[in-house]
Amino acid sequence: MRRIQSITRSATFALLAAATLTVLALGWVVARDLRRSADAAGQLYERFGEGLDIIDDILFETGEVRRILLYALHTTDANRQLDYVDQSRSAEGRVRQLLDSRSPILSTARTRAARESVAAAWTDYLQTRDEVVGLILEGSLTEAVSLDERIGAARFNRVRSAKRAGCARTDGGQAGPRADGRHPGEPGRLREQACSRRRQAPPGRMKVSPRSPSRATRCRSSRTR
Amino acid sequence: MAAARPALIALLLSAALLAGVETRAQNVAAPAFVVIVNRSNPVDNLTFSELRRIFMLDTQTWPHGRKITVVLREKGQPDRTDAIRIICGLSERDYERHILFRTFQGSVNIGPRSIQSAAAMVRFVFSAPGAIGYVKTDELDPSVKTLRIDGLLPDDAGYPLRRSLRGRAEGDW
Repeated sequence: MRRIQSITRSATFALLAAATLTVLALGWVVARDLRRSADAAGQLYERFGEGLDIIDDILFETGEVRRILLYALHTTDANRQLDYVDQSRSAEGRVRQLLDSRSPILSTARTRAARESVAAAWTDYLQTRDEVVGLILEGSLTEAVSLDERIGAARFNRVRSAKRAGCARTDGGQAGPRADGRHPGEPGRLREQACSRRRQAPPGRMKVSPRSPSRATRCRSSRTR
Repeated sequence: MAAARPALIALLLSAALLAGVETRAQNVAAPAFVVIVNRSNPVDNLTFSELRRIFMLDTQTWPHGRKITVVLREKGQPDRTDAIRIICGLSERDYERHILFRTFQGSVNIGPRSIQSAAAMVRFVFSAPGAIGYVKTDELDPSVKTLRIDGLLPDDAGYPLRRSLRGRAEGDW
């Protein structure tokens, strides 16, 4: 009788030990999967963040190309006009680099199409920009303003529209209205997060450049060079 | 004393001759001016008189209809004085007077544009389709087009825009 009790107790212990081991093993598997999921989510967020940064930089630099060019209209000094034209061209070079950047988020089929449409619109605008530059340097400011108003502004707006469409696609938007009832132009959750992150930044920094200070400083120093 | 006088004259004459030879040597060594235009400009060759008319603002449009923009170096720079003297045959002051006269006549809206450096001149001509400027041969850049003058390039003998360190064309010597 005592022997039977001892066997039963041993069996119970063995069962409990096996159950404990099973629970531990399952816990380890679940913990590992959770960690993997967290890592994947982190990587995904970083890629989205990187994509948004690139779009943000493209927005900033394309604006710079046009803004600096407008300065050249406000002087008749050929040397200063040439300085502004050079600055506009260097901003143009940075836009070209950004458009050619191989970020994974900008390399999906949907975002690639958006990027190509931005690049095409940008090339169109640059043709007009170059003509405006020529007229400015030749001293025909009135004609330059007229050409920019007639064609340049419309082409630049086309670039902005293409960028807006690209942003919507980066957010995971569809061509038509989405399942959540929002239109592609409306901000997605990720962009809201990014915007809220930017809203937390000091306002002075945002006014100068929405990018990281080191990058903004680098761009500023390259412009002053 | 009387015997020493011919020797002194001979010494002075030989010194003057040596100085002349040296000046001619400097003249040959000085880099020539190259006339540059935008790469989109279909013109490849100008006669010297056509070039002079352009720089004097007597001709103000290219054959394809684009307005000509003459680009010079800034006032007081030797390259400006040299170019005006070689191309227009005028001193800088006379050239300014001529431009002022043409402006008051109403036949010129904007005079030549003044640029501070050769590199800036090249960048200007690169960006302005109707611009015409000049640089020295050693300041030339492939982003702009070199014009032949009377069918000649700076390396050819008889090129009319060869200059001396004194700022005179080769023909003046």
